[in-house]
Amino acid sequence: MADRKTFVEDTEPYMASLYSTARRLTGNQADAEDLVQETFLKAYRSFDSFREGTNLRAWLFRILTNSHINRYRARQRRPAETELDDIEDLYLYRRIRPAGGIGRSAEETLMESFSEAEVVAAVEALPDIYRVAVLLADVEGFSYAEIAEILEIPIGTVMSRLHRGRKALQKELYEFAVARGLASAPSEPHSESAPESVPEPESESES
Amino acid sequence: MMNPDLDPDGDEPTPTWSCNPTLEELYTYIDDRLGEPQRSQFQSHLQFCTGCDDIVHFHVGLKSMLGSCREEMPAEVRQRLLDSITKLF
Repeated sequence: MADRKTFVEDTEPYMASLYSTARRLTGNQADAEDLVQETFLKAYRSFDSFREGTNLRAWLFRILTNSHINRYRARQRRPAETELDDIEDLYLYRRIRPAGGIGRSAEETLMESFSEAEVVAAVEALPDIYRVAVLLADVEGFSYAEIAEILEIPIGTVMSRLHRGRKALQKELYEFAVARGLASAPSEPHSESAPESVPEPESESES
Repeated sequence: MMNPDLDPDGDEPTPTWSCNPTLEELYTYIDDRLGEPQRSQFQSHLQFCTGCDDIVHFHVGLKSMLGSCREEMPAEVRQRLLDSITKLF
């Protein structure tokens, strides 16, 4: 059982990453601040029930994501899964990598193609359900098992949400690349030298 | 990519990598979720296959680009949050 007297010193180290995630979830500073405040308030009230020695960071993120989902449940939109499943694999790589030219590293191609603001906009454009998974995995570095614990879903569902979220993100980024003239229009992917895609196994469906 | 053909005699698996990783397979490797011996086998493959190596680097770069797009917490926000927590005591 955790002691409320140590609440601030125990939880304060995670405040910055909770805030960062809240910004990406809400899209603005005021709502992010409210969300983090609500998270800390709830965490404080139930700190007695937090088992010391277990994953405090994951526990706080669980409160944050639950609070966000409860607040914005009405606004949640969930795209047709077929819409995302239609996005081919290596979607972005096949379209922008050839523009990188010979001798350019993959990293250089990426860095030249997108500004930080565009990456943020692409993340924020993702539907909530996928954005949360991508943020937890790729920004906060949580393992699949931790994300399963935070979102209270099976690991297979974590993987399918991440997979769809990453595909959708690549599509969003590609649209920025097209707008900047760094990639060709959607009908003309540069796929001559790229390996052919193979049919994917069925992803685990959401439960 | 990660479907080693099994030896017809049923002995040791003979890995024969083809260069068509799916996104899911790529991230299984990048997220460090690929078990052995597939992980070592894929790493060996990357050493001589520049095509797959480039694809992996591209997606590792994409992941680290996401990781660096954190939002700094303004000092005044941090102070307000700390004040609101302190009020709880």
